[in-house]
Amino acid sequence: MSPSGVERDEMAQSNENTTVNTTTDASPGDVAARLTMIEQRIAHPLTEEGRTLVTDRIVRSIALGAALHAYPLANADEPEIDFDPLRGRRR
Amino acid sequence: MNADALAFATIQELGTAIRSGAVSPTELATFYLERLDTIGRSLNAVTTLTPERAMAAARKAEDELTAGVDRGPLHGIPYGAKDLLATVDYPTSWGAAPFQDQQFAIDAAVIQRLDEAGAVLCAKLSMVEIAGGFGYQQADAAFNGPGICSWSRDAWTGGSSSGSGSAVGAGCVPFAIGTETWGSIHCPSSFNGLTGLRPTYGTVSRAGAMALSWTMDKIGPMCHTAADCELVLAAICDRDEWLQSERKPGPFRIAVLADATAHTQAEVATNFAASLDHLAEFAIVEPVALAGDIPWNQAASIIVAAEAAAAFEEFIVSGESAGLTAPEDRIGLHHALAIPAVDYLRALRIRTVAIRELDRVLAGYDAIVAPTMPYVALPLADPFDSWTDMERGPSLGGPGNLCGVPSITVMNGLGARGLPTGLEFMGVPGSERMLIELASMYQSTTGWHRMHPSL
Repeated sequence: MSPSGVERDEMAQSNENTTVNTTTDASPGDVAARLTMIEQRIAHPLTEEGRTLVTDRIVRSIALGAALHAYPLANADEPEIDFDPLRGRRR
Repeated sequence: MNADALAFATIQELGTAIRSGAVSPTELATFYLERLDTIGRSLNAVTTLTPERAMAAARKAEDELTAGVDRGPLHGIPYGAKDLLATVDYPTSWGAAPFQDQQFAIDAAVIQRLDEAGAVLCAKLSMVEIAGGFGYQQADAAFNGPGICSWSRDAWTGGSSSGSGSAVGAGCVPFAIGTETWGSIHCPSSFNGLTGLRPTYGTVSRAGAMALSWTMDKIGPMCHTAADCELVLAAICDRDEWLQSERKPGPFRIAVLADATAHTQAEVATNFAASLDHLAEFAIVEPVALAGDIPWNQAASIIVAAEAAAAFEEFIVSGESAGLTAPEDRIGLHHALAIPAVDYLRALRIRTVAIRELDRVLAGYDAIVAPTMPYVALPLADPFDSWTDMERGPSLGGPGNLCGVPSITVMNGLGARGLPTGLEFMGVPGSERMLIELASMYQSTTGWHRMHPSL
């Protein structure tokens, strides 16, 4: 990843026509729920500083998700998934 | 050939020198190993020198040529590989302290391909820890120190293929292998005045390469010229039927990404304008815009974060990531453990729409061009956040990597602080030969690729 590819607040806003507001797109409840999920999952406690950094990135991540959900998709818009049921046999 | 000419010679020139008897593969390997050990180490470009393997391969190449066996353009040519490519006989660190003694039982497929082509591996080259996937915000994000630009000791060499950029830039190897998830070949190539080729996703086998993002990781060459990139790509690509694209007759048609210099450094904009004037001498050049409502970068960000968190889940959950060098990397992907599957799948669905849009925009064009990076090599001590204003404009990096299309970057001038700037040509899937042809035409009449730093 180059610096311009690394996820940041500024990068979440970098497409000028798809501006994301990172302060209002994330509800406090959603942020807290994700933080709790992460803390329950990891095998080590977060420091206060660590919790702040993780929270900042959760907020950004929620903002990125909001930008994706703001783009209209149809039911027929499928992901590009190369699923091949025979792949396991060929390996 | 004097030492300076030898250090910055192209693969083609070295091949001619080898076959004329002017220099032998063992002399070449010795020469570049010495430069890697001195200049390369001073730039933090080298993680592990591979002298035993290099000299054995060089002696084999020499013996084969004596016996009349010629494996082609890479026969006897030294190179370096980003240290996320597995090698059986040396550690593979992924640039990260927790993995610095990691050993694998096989060589990566791309290393095997280069062995078969007669190339001589001289070093495992430094990289940003875990290919930058943990969200680094500074140059000092590798266990062996920040990568230093070959053009300035005060500048960062770029990432994440840091050592590949500075080693080729400093004439420590004639070519290197880098990888790109989002910018990791193009950024260090641009910062070091190189030609870097990001092939179409899936063109080069990733077997034995560290996985950061399964649907976005690509492997490609970093060289002095576009013609050299073609030689290396021919040796490492798996799907060469993809690279046989034929051009329609008539003049070249090149699209220019609209507003691409709206936020760049002034010198980047000036050099880009000069490049367009130059391209207009042999091509029809027209501005085009990518659909502004598609969240290109946001989709790419969610895909990389979710896939990287999955690929490194145990490393994150166990707390081992605390051993990374950059403080922000140590808990840099914790947040991605909680990205909803629906968001990840939505990003994949948007990728499908994005591919269609890119196809629509590129229809009728041989390539689209834009500045490779909005700035020259960043000052070594600057946190990346201080440069984000210049990343706000349209660029090809997010859309191109999201959609897996090929791209080549070439040096197109000198910018701020006398450092190189870059010009990117991006095309449709499988258009590598077209991009190489365009870049070669540009290089044959401009000569920027012949410039190199005073060391």
